Amino acid sequence: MSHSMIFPVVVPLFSAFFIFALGNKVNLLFLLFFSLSSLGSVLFLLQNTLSSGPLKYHIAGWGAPLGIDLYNDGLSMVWMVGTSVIFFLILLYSHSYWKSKEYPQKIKNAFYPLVFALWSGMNALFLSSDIFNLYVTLEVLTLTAVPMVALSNKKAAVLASLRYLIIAVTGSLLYLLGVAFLYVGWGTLDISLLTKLVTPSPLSWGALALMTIGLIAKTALFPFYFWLPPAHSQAPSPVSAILSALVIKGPYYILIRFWNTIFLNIQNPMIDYLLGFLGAIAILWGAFQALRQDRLKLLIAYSTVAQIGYLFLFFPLAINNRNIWEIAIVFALAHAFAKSALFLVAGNILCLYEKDTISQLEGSHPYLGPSFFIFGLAGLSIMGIPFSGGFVGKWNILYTAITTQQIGWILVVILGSLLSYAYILKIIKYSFSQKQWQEKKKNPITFSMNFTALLLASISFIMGFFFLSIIHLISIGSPFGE
Amino acid sequence: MTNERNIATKIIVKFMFFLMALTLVGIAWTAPAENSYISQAATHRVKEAGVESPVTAVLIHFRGYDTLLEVTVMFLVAIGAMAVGTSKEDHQPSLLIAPDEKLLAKPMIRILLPVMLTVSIYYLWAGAKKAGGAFQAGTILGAMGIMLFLAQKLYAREKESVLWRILLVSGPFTFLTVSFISIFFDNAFLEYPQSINSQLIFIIETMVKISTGAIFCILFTRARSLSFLEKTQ
Amino acid sequence: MNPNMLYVMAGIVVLCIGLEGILTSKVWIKKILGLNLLGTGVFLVLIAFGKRSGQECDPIMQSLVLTGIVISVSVTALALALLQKIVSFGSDSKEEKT
Repeated sequence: MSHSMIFPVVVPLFSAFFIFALGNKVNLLFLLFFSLSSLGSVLFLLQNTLSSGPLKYHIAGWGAPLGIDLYNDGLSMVWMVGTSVIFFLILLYSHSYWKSKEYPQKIKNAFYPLVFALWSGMNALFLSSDIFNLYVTLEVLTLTAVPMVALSNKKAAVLASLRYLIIAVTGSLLYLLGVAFLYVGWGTLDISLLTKLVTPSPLSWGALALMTIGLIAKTALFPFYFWLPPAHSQAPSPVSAILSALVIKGPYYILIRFWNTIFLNIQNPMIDYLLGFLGAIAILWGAFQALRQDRLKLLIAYSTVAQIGYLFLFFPLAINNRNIWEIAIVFALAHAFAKSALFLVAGNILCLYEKDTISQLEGSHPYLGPSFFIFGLAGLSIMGIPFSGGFVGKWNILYTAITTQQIGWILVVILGSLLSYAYILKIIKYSFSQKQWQEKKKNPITFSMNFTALLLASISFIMGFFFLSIIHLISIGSPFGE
Repeated sequence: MTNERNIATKIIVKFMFFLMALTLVGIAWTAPAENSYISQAATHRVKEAGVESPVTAVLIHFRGYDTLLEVTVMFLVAIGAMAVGTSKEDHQPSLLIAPDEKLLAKPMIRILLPVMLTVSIYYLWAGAKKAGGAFQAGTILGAMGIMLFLAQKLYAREKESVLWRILLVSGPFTFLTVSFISIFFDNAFLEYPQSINSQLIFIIETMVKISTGAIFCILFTRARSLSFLEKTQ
Repeated sequence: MNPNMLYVMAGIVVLCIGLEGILTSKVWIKKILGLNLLGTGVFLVLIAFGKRSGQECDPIMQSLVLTGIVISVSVTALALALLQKIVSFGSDSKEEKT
């Protein structure tokens, strides 16, 4: 039995423990060592998966249904590689960021262990093949993300993190009730066994409803989005990047996974249409709100609300057309890279003049030239300009909407895209203004801060060129059927 | 008018939750009356795991991975509380409101402490046979710490301390290390070698217990460390 | 009727009360209490489902609930820490109400 499957969980977790124990002694060398080995553990698994196909691992050797299994196919592998690259780059960024802004040591001491634990928790979530274990990993995500929001040490941030905690835990508990229904009905917690067993009945419908509500509350789909903008905008910028790019994708991944396994036989198109409808409202409402904001980080956070909407448009499109999920994942990953780049740029701006009021950016381009460039590059993917990662997603939404005769979504995508042009260009226009800057420069933006953000933005853009190879990777183990 | 409308909304909201409860009960009603196959398997295969209590077998052996993540969650919350927490260094709450109460509190602590320590060790030991285990034992350990804190025998500190960092991390770290090392002995992750099974579990449980106690003290005081020495101004 | 269904029903009632508290209450501490009630209700449902007929209790359900309780304790501790931090900032604005 190959043990490569446990490394993506164990190595970042060990790193978290060591970094916590080291406390003040953590420096760049330690960070590089731990983050490189965590990234390496994922790449090692990638190499194993490429050579030997989907993998299964029986933890403690018991095997399902008695024990817990890990399962790795293309779907989880792509997510793990994507998140690990983002984690790695954000960690490099954050080291310069804390230094540049002279944050208190106390914050760093909490931030690094929490990030590594979150990294481990996300890998555990992607690998898990047990519905209760997924609940535990969801809680690992929540209980690392919430304290990280509060690290800003401002009242608004702590309030936002408490609201986030309450919504996220409510979502997990509803999910847990769904777990109880599935376990009572079919006597196992293992996903692959449940896929074979689950039949349409009140219990499975109840579980479907509870789990869907719980998970979309955690993903911040439209009626449950209200916690996201304050939490993501009040957190320190590297944290915002992690939350917006990665943490909300965890529950979304579980939804996709369940839709293609446990709930495959009990699906009702009405639920898909409802989710698509909520997504459509989220696209328009989020983009509209983003346009209205005068704080850069709030703008980016509302843009996340809108982008989550696109992720849910794939639900109605995937009826009888399950291959579209592969595009959904490419889109979600492109969003993750682009959004983390946007938040890191916001971090640069906050670093430079301690505020992120958009209207005061007038004339700041001599200092923020690279930042504006990165913002634009990441913005291309958010807007869906041809050949970027976002374009692949939007193009396929339009294409599938036409072929499956769901014309209504086309209008939503076009309107949403126009609004996203507006809010991205609202920032970019300041790089062309002629005025002198009024604000005082506070802290320098270092090379590594621009470089990591640039890397993230470029990956989100060039993803459009090699999305076929990503889809090829996703199809390992054919998670979406033959 | 607005008052009446408020009451009407409240009644509607309450009615909706009532409907929700009714639906859930209706769903639960359809549950099959038989216990599942794996619960029987879990009861029957307890012996293979080398412990007597089926619950302990599930917690440590069959679903030990969940327990590992759960211990990690507690550790993470302690980090969060340390980062967020308002330290009570300035105004330490106290059991000893009036000076006379020292007469009562001190002997009480003197009697209670050894009893609590014994009970907590008993819980750890009993875990193999009946309900009990590291978490329950650690809770009592934590209660001891909180009692000492309230009686002003332990003091909250804003200062980082290596000792406390190691106390907090030792439980999850030992758990992870022991379960990880087993893969070098031809076992799966979290599968302990048969011959030293119970010894390894004893080590893990003890360390988890100590960490749990420390974590509860930190969660209660939200300090970065605790010390027996009074702070000298 | 199986007497254990009574516990399941009680659990469902408790969790609905908790959910109502979370969603409608305007005071943070009540929301946190609601969260605890919701958790307790779910755990009660789980435990009661674990013993449906005259057989032995389901050890899997019991250990799931034990794991859940520990997580619930951690959540409550963090929520209270955050709340106390908010209080320590003082109430210079009316933000405490959602």
